[in-house]
Amino acid sequence: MNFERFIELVTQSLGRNRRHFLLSGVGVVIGIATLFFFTSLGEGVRTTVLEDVFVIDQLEVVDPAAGAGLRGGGLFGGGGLNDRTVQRVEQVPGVDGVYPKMKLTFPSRASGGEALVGSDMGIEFIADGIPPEIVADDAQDNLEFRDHEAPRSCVDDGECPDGHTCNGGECAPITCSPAQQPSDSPCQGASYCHGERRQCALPIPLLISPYLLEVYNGSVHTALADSDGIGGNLPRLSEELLIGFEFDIIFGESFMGRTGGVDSRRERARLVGFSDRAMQLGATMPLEYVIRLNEAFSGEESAEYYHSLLVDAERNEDVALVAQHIEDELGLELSDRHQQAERAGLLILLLTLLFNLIALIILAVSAINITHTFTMMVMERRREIGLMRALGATKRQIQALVIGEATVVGFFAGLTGIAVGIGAGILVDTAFDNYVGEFPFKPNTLFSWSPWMFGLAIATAIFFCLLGAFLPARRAGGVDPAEALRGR
Amino acid sequence: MNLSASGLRRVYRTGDVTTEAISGVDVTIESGEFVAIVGASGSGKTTLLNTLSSLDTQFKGTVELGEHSLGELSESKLARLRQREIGFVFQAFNLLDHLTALENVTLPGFFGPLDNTDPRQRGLELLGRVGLGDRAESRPPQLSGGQKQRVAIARALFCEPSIIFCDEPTGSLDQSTGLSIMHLFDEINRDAGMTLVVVTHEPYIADMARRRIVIEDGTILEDKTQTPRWPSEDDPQDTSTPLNDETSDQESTEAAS
Ligand SMILES: Nc1ncnc2c1ncn2[C@@H]1O[C@H](COP(=O)(O)OP(=O)(O)OP(=O)(O)O)[C@@H](O)[C@H]1O
Ligand SMILES: [Mg+2]
Repeated sequence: MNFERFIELVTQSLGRNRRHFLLSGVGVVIGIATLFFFTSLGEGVRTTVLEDVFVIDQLEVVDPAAGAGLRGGGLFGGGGLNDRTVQRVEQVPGVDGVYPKMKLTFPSRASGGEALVGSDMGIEFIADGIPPEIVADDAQDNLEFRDHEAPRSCVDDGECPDGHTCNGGECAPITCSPAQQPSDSPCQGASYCHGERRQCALPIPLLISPYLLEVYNGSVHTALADSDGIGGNLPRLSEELLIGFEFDIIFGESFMGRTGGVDSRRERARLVGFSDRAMQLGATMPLEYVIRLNEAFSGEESAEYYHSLLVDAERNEDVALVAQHIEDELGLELSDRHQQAERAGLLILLLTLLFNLIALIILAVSAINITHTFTMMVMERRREIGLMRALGATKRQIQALVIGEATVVGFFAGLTGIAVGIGAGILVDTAFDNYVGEFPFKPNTLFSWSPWMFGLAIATAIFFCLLGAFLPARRAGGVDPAEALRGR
Repeated sequence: MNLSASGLRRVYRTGDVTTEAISGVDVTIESGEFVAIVGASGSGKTTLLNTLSSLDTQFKGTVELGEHSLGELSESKLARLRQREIGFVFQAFNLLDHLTALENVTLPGFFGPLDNTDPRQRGLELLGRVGLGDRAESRPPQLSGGQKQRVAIARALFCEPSIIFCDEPTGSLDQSTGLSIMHLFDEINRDAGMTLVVVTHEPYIADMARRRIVIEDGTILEDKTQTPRWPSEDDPQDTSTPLNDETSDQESTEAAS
């Protein structure tokens, strides 16, 4: 049977039994809508939770001793994370790169914020350092995320950063006086005149985690919104608003205490971007700054040990294997963020599967319903089927006709189901947006609709229709023409 | 294409009851014949027609159509044979009400290859030939009984079969309409040389055939050639011109259903 003619025949038949087909498709529509709704919901929530909250594609080796405040195991070749550990982890198959992180090991505080919130505020300053190369893309400021104090060779002034000149093949800071008006100051562009050193200097570039911003906007800002005093006037912050923001850091001095024996030092810092790699509650600067500062404020030894190592896998699929290798073979500990992420992912997956199971049950019931309706239709059409057999239709062609009808029903039921699923999603999103308050990582949409879901929904709809139509089709093929055409 | 049966038996089983509807029939129908099968109700006419025409293959004995032995053909070969070589016309018309007259006529074309003819073109041509050139887009419920049977005849002719089986083709029609249908059959039989096997229990129909087979209790009681006898010209119910006549307008729709 030629395909076009076959389609024509199926269409003719569908046109006549429209009501039957509509009725038999309803269950499939509900089932597919449910399936589509929960799959896209699960996927949407999983994406938000795993990619934004837990950042699942990133492993972090932690130093168990560091958390307990017990440093020194490293002296006997044990726990500490140093350059040798970095090398060992680099050898693990599937590892693309290992990036050490070091925290500031002495108290500091930050001061500033007038430009942003209207008055200066002081706050404990917590920071760590990471190798700039892993966050190269995250700095959005002209002041890149790099160590500005590292020696830089040059041929002429143009190659040196703001506030520096080329002196004997190396960039050197220009001398200045803090008393000078900004317009007279030799410290141009991003540089400023450092009060104690009386030299132009570039602010320490900082990255902060988008998580911090989310927590601020979602909790702190919302919670304080109606309070008296400064808290009530806090603005909602955005990445654009924050980038380029400058403030002072006083190293070696904090509200909690001071470092003994070493004078505190005031440096300017500037926010240059947001990064998932940045510390979640604090700020992140290029590693070299932290090493130098730790050496200066808490001694050489504390600058040798890293607090954690970020591990990049070559491919996302390798993450689990790499994690296993690091824990079992190297005996190192991974941050529980990885486990939490896996647990959260699993939980969401299980919930999605549970709801999809419900959808599948609905679909199975509709398949049975289709079996009933189609069987009824086949009985009603016995005479017609007998006639077709008399006119030369084979059993297979009769079966194909019923199967073809089921496919069309499945296809349109699938499409309708998708439309209903998306409609329900939009409704839920709107309600969620209007009736649920701000919270950290509140997503714009709870749903994630990807092309594979559409394909899957249609395929599932057709599958269940075919499943339901299987027996009726066989029955139709088995109609005996002599019997069916007898009498009337 | 010759049709022959020998030692033909057909037994129906319903629970413990067995009915031998055909009990030993030997018959040969040659290409181009016009045969009427007559007999009392329940004598086995329909059963015989079904076994001869490949609709029913649960028989004992042999039935041969041309070089094909119907009892031995595979299901798909049988379907192919029905599509190409055999036409059917039933008492109940068996048109599909959701299709137009034209779509009904072209229905056999859905189930097998057509030799390079445009199905629509051929369907229109056949509708013209049975006098319904202007009703191509009408659906069966809008047609009278006679018109329906003409559509069914056009459908039977669609694949140019070599043999046409008719089970009481005029049984649902009044006499004058039946007569015009029979004129149409006669013409097809003469012009195209198609073999015509007509089951009927109306004597005036049986008179028109050139051979008459009488069935009683599943066996052939009588089988003889005869001179066809058509109702006389002055019969008030007779319509002399079978094609493109106006009878269809006078046919009552009640007679059709
Ligand atoms: N499907 C069946 N199951 C059992 N018995 C049947 C079946 N079909 C027909 N018969 C029996 O076979 C015999 C012949 O029936 P058939 O229909 O061939 O007669 P017929 O000559 O066509 O009668 P009519 O003129 O009434 O159409 C009858 O006794 C009938 O009861
Ligand atoms: Mg009969």
